[in-house]
Amino acid sequence: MAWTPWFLRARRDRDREEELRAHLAMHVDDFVVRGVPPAEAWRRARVVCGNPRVKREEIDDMQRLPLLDSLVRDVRYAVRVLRRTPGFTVTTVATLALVIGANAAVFSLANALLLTPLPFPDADRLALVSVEYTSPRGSSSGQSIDGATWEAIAKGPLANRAAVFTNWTAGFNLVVNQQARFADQQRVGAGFFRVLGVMPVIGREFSPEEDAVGGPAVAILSHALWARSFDADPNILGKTILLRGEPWQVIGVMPDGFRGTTTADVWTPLQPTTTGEGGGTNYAAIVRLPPGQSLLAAVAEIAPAVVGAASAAGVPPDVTVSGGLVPLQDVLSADNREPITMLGAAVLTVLLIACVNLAALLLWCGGLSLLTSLAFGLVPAWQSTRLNVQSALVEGRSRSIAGSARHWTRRGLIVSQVALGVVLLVSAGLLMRTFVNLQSLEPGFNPAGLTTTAISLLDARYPTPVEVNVLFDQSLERLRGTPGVSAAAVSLGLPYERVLNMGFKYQGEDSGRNASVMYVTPDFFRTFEIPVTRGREVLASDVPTSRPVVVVNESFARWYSKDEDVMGRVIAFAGAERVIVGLVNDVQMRPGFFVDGMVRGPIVASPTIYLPAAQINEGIVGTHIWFPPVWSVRASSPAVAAQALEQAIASVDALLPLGQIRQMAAVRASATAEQSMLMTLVGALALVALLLAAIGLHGLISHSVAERTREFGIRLALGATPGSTVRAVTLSGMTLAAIGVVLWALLAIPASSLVASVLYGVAEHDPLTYIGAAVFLLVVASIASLLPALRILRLDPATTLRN
Amino acid sequence: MLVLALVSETPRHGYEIGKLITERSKGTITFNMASLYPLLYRMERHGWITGEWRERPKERRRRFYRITPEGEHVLAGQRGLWRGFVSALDQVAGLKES
Repeated sequence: MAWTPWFLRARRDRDREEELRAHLAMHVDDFVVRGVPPAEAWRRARVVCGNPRVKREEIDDMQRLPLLDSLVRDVRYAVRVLRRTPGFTVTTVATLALVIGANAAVFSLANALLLTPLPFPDADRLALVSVEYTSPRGSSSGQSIDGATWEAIAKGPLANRAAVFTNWTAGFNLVVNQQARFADQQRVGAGFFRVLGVMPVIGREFSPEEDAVGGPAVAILSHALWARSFDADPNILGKTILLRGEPWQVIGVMPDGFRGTTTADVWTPLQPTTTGEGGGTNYAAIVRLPPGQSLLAAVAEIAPAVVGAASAAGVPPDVTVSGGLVPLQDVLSADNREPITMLGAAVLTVLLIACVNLAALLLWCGGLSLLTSLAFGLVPAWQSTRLNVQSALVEGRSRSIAGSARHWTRRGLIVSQVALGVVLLVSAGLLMRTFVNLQSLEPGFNPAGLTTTAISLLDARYPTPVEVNVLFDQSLERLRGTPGVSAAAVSLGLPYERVLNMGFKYQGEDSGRNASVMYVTPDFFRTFEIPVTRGREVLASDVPTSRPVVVVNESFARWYSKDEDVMGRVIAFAGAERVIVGLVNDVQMRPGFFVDGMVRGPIVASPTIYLPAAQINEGIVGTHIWFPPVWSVRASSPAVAAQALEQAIASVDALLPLGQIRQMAAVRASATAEQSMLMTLVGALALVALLLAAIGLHGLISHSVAERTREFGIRLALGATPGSTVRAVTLSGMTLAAIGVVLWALLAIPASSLVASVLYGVAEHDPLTYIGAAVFLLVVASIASLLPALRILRLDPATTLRN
Repeated sequence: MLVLALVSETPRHGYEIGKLITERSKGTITFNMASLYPLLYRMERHGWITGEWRERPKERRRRFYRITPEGEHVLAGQRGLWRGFVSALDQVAGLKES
């Protein structure tokens, strides 16, 4: 029923009443016509029709939506009640606002990162092939496969529902109309877009012929790149673009807003192989499950290919290989799952605390109204009898410790609130200590005043170490000549970032080890101010024709050369025998691997090999696909550094676009950004929890003080000191808090295992954090209990007794 | 259907409608005020009838209801339905013979 506005309703009501009166009058007329006296006619008509006003109300009730009307009445009543109890209203609204706000924020984050379906048709049917290696030492799994595995899948039953791709993009320089710009390229196999379920809006996707080794150089553009760089040219098909200095023919444009497994501007055929790149696990395979087929059934079809290929490649005898499928959504959101789960748990805890708080408040309000009615009803009766001091005291004493059932409920709520509050405080404390630990890690270099930019050398003009080094030498020469620049260097990768890792062997040893690898130009250590502890740094005299050398860091010596002096040892590495000529301080980086015994964390001091840029081989140049070289400048100001970098590169190669220019401090901050975000959010939620617990305790104590004013008055009159009374009341609040703290011990263990995975340098059951959180909460609880208890000091026994 | 049939003949006021139903059904069907008016209001809301106040000299002000085209349509449908129903009852229970 449409809801009639009040002004129309009033008129309608008048109309209806008039109509019913007319009805009654006509009845009367009828009786009168039949000879009944008017007064009797009226009486009879009233008997037949009833009272018009009552009838109208009956009719109205039949007409209305009773639910809606009673709802409106209830809301009006609620508003009136809330206005009468502003304290309750403000506390409730604030509690709800805090909790709903926190909930909404975390949910929208979780929704965006975890729950929003991928933008592909039937995205829940998309999965990535995964390989799991299990050995007595543990198991590892991932979605990277090698060329042989893909070849086996492509011959298997799901061949026409699967596609191979690389799940990372490479930055490259795209030249359009003599202008270079930085773009991201992803290499994907034939059928990739068909499997995803999104086809190009213009043109077509890659054919199997184009996706074979030696196939033509063809490319598909993103809608954004097509619109931005080609002015949305409708005749783009067949045109060529210069990608890394080589011509590629455009055969398609993807729809607006399309985003594949990663963000890219250009897609080119993967052309999978089983050697070279395909010899390692550098590919990923995506599968669209056939309609009606379960994930398990599909796994059964795909597993033999995966296991067969791995076995053919040879695995140690104690390692078992198994193949599987992981839903694409799970893979893409894997990095965010843990933090979001943790935040969700934190928000849930705060929500619980808020519910407990509101329940306690409602109990209190219920108590208030009960008290009011009791007071109004019983006071006259009370006054007529003599006050029995003993019974008042007994009553008071029983209440101070045990109290009525209602109080027990409320106290139970407070206790659980405190327990939940400590759980959150402990989690927040652990995260805070993690962050502090990460922040206090020695950087190992001086980040202040360092400005950096990465430049992609994925360009046909830089295929070998020779061209690469000419670029380095000339640009660095320009940079060093720029006023305001005190030092400049190029390195493959940066501290605080993920760098290349490669295997090496000591001369005369069979087993290989893993190390982080950076090539550096001379002056790198001086530019970064990394102390050289022994030997020498990379010098300009380290050239291709001189003896191959490397510099290693302290971690390298610590993990890989414990028993022998690392200086002078020879390693077989990157295609040459190289002698260790220097030892430098550790710097922090994002780990690409862990050595047994290393502290796991988001940043570590990793065993690192620094080799002279002038002595790199083509294999290292090949890693420019993954890692671009970085130019770093120590200059008087960031602006000077940025300008110097732009001018130096432009003067050597005008077609080489600079990446983002970043201060080293920003690089450092982004390495611990996740920990910082979690610490802030969980910390804020813990504060909310603490506040709510304090509000609850404060409410309980102040209520009980108000309730027991008479008792306190009597006690004071009988000689109790105000101090002891205050102490007793405060202690009752603290006892509740203490019970809560003990209860929490049961809850905290599962809760801290939730944060365990993101902790660094602090044990998940760190006693200091636990005790600290408990003490902190007890202090807050005592303040919350003490404040209302202090009211007792202002009590005047005489007045209290008189009242 | 009864109300629609009556107002389809000519516009009528509520009292007249109630009275005619009682008269024509020879007292078998009666409407009291509390059930007749809600029915009228509901039909008005559905758009099957419209009411308007009419005033004549020396007569009291009364609200007359007339049928709308939509009401005509509903009436035709209901007549068909009831006709079918009555004939079905007849065939099963032999109403006309009794």
